[in-house]
Amino acid sequence: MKRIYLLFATLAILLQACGEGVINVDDIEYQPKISIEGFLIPGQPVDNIKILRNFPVDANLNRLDLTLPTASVVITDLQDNSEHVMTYDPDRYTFYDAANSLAVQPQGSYRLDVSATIDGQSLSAHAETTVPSSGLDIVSVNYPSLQYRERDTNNNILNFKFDFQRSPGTTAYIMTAVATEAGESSFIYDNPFEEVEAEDVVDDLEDWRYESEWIQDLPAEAGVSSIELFWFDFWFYSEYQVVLFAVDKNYIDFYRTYEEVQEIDGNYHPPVFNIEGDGIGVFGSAVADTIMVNVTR
Amino acid sequence: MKYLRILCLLICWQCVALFAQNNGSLSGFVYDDSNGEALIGVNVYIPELERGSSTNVSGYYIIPKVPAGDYTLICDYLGYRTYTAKITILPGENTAVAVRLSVDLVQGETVEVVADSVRVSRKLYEKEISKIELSAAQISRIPQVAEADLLRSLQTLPGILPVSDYSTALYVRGGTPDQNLYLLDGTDVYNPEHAFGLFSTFNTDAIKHIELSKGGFNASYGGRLSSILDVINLDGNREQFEGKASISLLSAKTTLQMPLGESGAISGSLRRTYFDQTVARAIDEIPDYYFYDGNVKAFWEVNPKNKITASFYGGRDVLDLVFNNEATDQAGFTLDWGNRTGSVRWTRVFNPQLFANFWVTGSRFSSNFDLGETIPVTERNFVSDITVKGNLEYHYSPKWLMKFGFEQKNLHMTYEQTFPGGSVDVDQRQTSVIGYLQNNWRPTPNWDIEGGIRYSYFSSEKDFNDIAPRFSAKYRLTETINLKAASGVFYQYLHRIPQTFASDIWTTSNQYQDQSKATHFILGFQKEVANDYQFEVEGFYKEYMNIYRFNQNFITELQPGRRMPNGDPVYTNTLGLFHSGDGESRGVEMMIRKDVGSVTGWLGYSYSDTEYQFEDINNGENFAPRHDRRSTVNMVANIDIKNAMRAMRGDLQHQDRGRWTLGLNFVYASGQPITTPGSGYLISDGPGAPDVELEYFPGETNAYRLPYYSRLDLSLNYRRQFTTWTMEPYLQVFNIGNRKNVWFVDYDFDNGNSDISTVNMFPILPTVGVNFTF
Repeated sequence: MKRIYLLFATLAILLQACGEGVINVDDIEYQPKISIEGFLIPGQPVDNIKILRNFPVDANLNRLDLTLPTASVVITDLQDNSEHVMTYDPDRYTFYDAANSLAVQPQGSYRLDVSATIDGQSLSAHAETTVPSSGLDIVSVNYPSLQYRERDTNNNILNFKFDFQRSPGTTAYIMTAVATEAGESSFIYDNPFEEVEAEDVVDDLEDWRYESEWIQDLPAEAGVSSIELFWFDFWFYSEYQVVLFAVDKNYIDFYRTYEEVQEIDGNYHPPVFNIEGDGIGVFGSAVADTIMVNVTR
Repeated sequence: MKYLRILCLLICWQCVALFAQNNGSLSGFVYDDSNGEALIGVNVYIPELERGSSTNVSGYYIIPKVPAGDYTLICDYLGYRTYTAKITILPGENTAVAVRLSVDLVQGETVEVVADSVRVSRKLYEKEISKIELSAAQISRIPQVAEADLLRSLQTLPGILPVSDYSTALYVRGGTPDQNLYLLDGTDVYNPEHAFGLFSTFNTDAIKHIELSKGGFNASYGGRLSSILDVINLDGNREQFEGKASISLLSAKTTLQMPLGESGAISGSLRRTYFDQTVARAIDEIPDYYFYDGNVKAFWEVNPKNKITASFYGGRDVLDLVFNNEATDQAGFTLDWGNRTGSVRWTRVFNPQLFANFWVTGSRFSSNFDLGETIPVTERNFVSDITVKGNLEYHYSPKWLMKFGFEQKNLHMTYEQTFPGGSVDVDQRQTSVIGYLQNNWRPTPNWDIEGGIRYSYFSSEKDFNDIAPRFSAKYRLTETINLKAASGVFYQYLHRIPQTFASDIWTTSNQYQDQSKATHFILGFQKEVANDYQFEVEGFYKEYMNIYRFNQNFITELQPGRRMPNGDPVYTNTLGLFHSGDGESRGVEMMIRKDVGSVTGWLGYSYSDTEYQFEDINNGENFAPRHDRRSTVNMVANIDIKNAMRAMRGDLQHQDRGRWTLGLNFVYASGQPITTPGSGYLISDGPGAPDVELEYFPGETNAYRLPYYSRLDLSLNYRRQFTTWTMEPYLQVFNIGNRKNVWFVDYDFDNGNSDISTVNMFPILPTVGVNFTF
């Protein structure tokens, strides 16, 4: 009898130690949210406010309409409390200031109010941004053109370094670089990171051609600082449009945290959005300056 | 000073009083007869008086105030033959008996309870509550990944959990790994891990003894909230040269011991991984990585009252990674990290009643990361700890034992990081001064009451003064049943910043982070079953205050402490790095354990429930941490196959020249909580980005439970005894059922369709190796 018990116990252990853990996605609770992406820049029209819905992790995106064309989107100029109702553009899937009544000003404060219905639930969200002050100016760049991984006489790799006048009161800056001649023929295949096939370049062209760097906690007062674009920011032998943004706290908080939500053990944590209510994403502002550089073979 | 004088007078008075009476005392050291190693935790007992003691960390015992007369002395220790001797205690004198225990090669299937053995229940009674002792042999018999590992072995015990197969970190009774104090020969070890946490720094071949206290530890220990792991390495064989060599798929290692003259011995160990020299040379994708570690320990017995022991440890991991081996102009990074520790201990028997250990210890951890020419990013992490401490025991009477001690710790922690547009430069020096007093009172042979107090002064940018009371009680309810209870307050001044890739960074309480505090309440029940089974049940409740979790969004809250000449920020403090909160853990652990016979091992069950409350996490609502597992079943068995079959047939067991041993390790654990992405959304990759990306927004913190975890490991060893040496090849299979235990869930969309997959833990991992002893 004792041996039979032993046999059953052994079999039970063996069975228990086989198989696989199964995830039941139905147990993951989905909460509808309004996804907001709004970015105000003085001197530019307000024509690209993206208001979408979020979706369950097991959704079929081919069948789910993410747009919210009936959403109410209002930006209030907090200087004079004037309300500017945004209009849905069905061609670009964005909201814009059809009346062109909102002129974004440096140091101006603006409030975005969004309400929409998702899956039968009435949701609303709001956020405020204060536009950085003017004065941002790219003063110089050390090299207008560099070969990919070009080295100096000491064998150090050379990078683009941009000196700029800071926007007073702003401590965070983002620099973006967009390849203007991106394509499979101009891709840098002999890079030290990974082997890339031409078809992968075509498939993810927009990903490859856009890169960005950021710096934070610079002095708030006016003065000159530097930011670099590094050799690994470039994936094409191309001219690049480089834009330096002095961004508000909403945008830099979002930018530094929205992608870094999964930890090494797979666990997720929320990013910093600075949006109240049922919204996720960002409503921020910036002042900008642009320069062109060239990466050659 | 006044109190010190009173204490000295008291001690002197007691010494005089001792010899003025018609009593004597019995004291001495207990050694392993084969190699002269002092044995820790040996039960020493005089049955006629029902009085006993156990050897301390130096192998020393004393039974004071024994009425003059003739008695039987019994010494009993796992794996050794019971020692019995007739002794005579003379009035006013100390009888010194040095005991040498012989190794018991075959222990019988059952232990007959006779006058010349110490009952299992008494051994359990002598043990402190929540304390677990394991020998190196027990550790090495548990099947593991690649080779025996101390921390992985401890994860098979109830109340001690891993967070995944990929980590040796210990989560003890709901506590986190930074709440465990790791001591190696009395020295603090700060990051005890190799290979990014896959293996621990402790070479099991060099270990003599380990003690793990899961909570309620006495006043001589402190500085951590959850547990104390005290690892003592081999002193060295003082009788003859002895060696051990092993090779596994992971590493090659050797341990050598030899006498140093008549009164000392030395032992040394060395281990190094070798796949960088073998597999990595053939396969380009495998990075150039290795680790090594080594120990040297020596002692010199100056005279029977003085002994000097020196112990050193050093280990390092080295990684040199190239991103793309095919590139004509390569780039990569280098990373190395490791510990160095050293201690010198003076063991002094002032008189038979007053025993002391004085230590000077040093511990240093450093790590270096350099991205080379890829980007100007470097990181240097350094921890230095110089400690002077003393632990004294005063055995006033059979009923009263007093322990007291002091410790001064000087810490130096630096963390430097350079990156484009800023740097981190943290340089902290802290001092802590500790004093403790502990009184152990045994009013009757069946009661053991211990009260203690530990005072801590910690000085960093802010000073902390804390008094931590401790209490425990043991009661022998019947011949086979013990009841135990303990409670205490524990403070911790060190906080850990986990890193994704490199080793953790340590920082301390300061003006931004207060000291952490925990209070433990433990109740225990022990029963001897069928003479040689130990059955233990413990219930615990732990309350945490001011515990810290790393703020994953810390970068949004950093504030520079100063600026470089060009205005770039230099971060010099820990502001914004942590979330602060409280928590509690509660649970019950059960274990039935058998240490003798042809089948040894344990079966354990633990129920645990941990909840945190942090103002900045989960909207201030309670949540379970990632390591919380409600139910865990552990089964570890080691079967001497031939003797087990003999036992089943009722035949006499004996030691074979060739011995087959089957090892088994089974674990079942209910699912861990995890935060899942509650939803996905589309958003641009940055200002002016031409395309949108799919991102995830998390749901409620740790609200989802992963599927249960289960695993069976097996090992088969064959030990062959030759005239002067032995050989023991082994086969180990980790996760023999190849169960796909989920580590976490990966979410993606492929052409608009949801693609959810699991990232699993280790699959089936067979490994082979061979051990030699000579």
